[in-house]
Amino acid sequence: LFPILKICFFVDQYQIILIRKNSTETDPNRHNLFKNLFDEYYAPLCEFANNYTKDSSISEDLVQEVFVGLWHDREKLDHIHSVKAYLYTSVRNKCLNHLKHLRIVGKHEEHRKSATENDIFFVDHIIEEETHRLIYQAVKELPTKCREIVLLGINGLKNSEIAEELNISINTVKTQKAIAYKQLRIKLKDLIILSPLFLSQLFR
Amino acid sequence: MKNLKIPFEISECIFRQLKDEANKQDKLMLQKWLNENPSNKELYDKITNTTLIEKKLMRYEKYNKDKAWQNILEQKEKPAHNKKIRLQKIIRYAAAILIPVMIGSYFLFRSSLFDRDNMPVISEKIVPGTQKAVLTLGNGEKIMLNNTERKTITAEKKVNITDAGNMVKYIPLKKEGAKAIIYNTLETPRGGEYSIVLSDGTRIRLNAASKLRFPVTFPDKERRVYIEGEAYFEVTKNKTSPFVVITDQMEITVLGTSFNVMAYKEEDNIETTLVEGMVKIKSGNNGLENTKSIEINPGEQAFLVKETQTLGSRKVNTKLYTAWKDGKLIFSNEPLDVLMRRLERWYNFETKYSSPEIKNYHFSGTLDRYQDFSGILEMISMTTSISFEIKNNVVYVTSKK
Repeated sequence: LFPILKICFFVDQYQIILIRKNSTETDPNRHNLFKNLFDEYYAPLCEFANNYTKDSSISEDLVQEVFVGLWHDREKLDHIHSVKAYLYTSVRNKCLNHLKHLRIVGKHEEHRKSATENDIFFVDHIIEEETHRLIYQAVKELPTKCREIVLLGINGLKNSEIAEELNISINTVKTQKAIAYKQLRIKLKDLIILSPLFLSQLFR
Repeated sequence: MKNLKIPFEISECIFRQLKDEANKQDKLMLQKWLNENPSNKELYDKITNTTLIEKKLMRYEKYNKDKAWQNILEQKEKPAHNKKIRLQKIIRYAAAILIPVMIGSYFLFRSSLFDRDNMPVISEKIVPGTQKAVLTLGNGEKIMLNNTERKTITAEKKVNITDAGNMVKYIPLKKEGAKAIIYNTLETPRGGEYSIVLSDGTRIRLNAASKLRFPVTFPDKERRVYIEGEAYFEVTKNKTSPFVVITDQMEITVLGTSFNVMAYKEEDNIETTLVEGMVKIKSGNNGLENTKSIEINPGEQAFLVKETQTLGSRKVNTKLYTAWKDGKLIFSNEPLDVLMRRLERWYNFETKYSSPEIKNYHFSGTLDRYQDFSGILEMISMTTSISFEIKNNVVYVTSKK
């Protein structure tokens, strides 16, 4: 008589995905959370899928299907602890189905069953992808000012030249650099400093 | 589905290690993992190879995310959900929805990882209120009213009193000259509600833990009733005899209207919410000093802040304040303690907070007043970082952390 609404939700560190049964398809709150989830995981999941499919356009299709599925089958997710686990598992299952299909039509014999279907393969690639995803997030989360300054530094400008270029004081340049380094500590700092190519791509 | 907690944790350890932020525990976990299998060391070296990381990050950047997002939006509209939508709409209105509005609590979510073990421990059942009240007659006799039996009370001379199990009705007998005004009192306990029809036809619905004192029949010139707690009034029109509702610090004068009065002792404010008609509000300690008065129109609410004796009015969504009479509880960005007090009166329990800050959580949502209490707590708990425990009719509120 009085239906109790089931709320299912996921908390992944700084992200809560609230997926309510009976909530409208256009609920802006849910929509935004879904979009955040997509932004954060789309590329890493595609890279993860590539390990199986070896074909990035197929990977993209499969990952998109997983997101559509997540949107529609949210009722099924009641008992799932982590949306992250759901995503990786679903992507793997989609990939394996795809490979099975290829084997049946006989196009892809080189994909041996044993290599891709075991759990070690799955877990190892999750560890790899998750680590890289976290690094990617960290770099993207650098404040804009930091990014600009780090970029100019990498392009060979001295602090005084950066200050002039951005019309700020040398002290500001120094503090901003310090902030950037603090956020991306030593080893990552080396990576950023030594990778002008990467930075020019990311911060253009 | 395979439990992926460990691989996720390992990747976080590696990430922190790279940032030079790994703590003892991280290092231990990582070391253990590396020792487990020589292939893990290989994996670690591969993952942390800066050239590879750089290449990976550049590949991440190359994906056309906008296009992919468009595809997803298109695909998720496609499947035939037409049948469901109608039903969903109906259910949406009927069902109790709790939408968390977590004001300023973003950071709390960062640290609170959901896990099933953190589900609220609800060891006891707390049931919603029912139709019950105590009627005190002019001679001091008390009569229990509840929905188990119906009765007619003939103790008062000027009226016939009939009880229908959820509503007591005063039907005036032919007019008599006797001047003395006899007062009766209808009182609901915590976890009770009741309705009454007064001798002039005015209908009053009494919320839980409330008390209405009223004359058995009204004198000609004025109709005065006294209220503590919360009640919804539908006053019968009578131009020559204004209807006056008196609370301890507010007086409401009307001719014929519908309005809600909330005047619980434990609440900070007294609120009168007008649905139709017009009312005049007077504030001040029993009309003795500092009297102020205002008039409000339908869709407005007069409020008196007890502490400062500020009397004011504002436009409101009247449904928020009158929903209780239709079996709902609607909250719009209300602090946890206000919400809990409303629930306490209806479900009859006590609340204890582990720290005063918890009271500052804000909530919005619609709850079903007749719903099982544990369902309500579960919803609040699942959508926030608050957890509940029930022991001996006391609800202990703690932060999950």
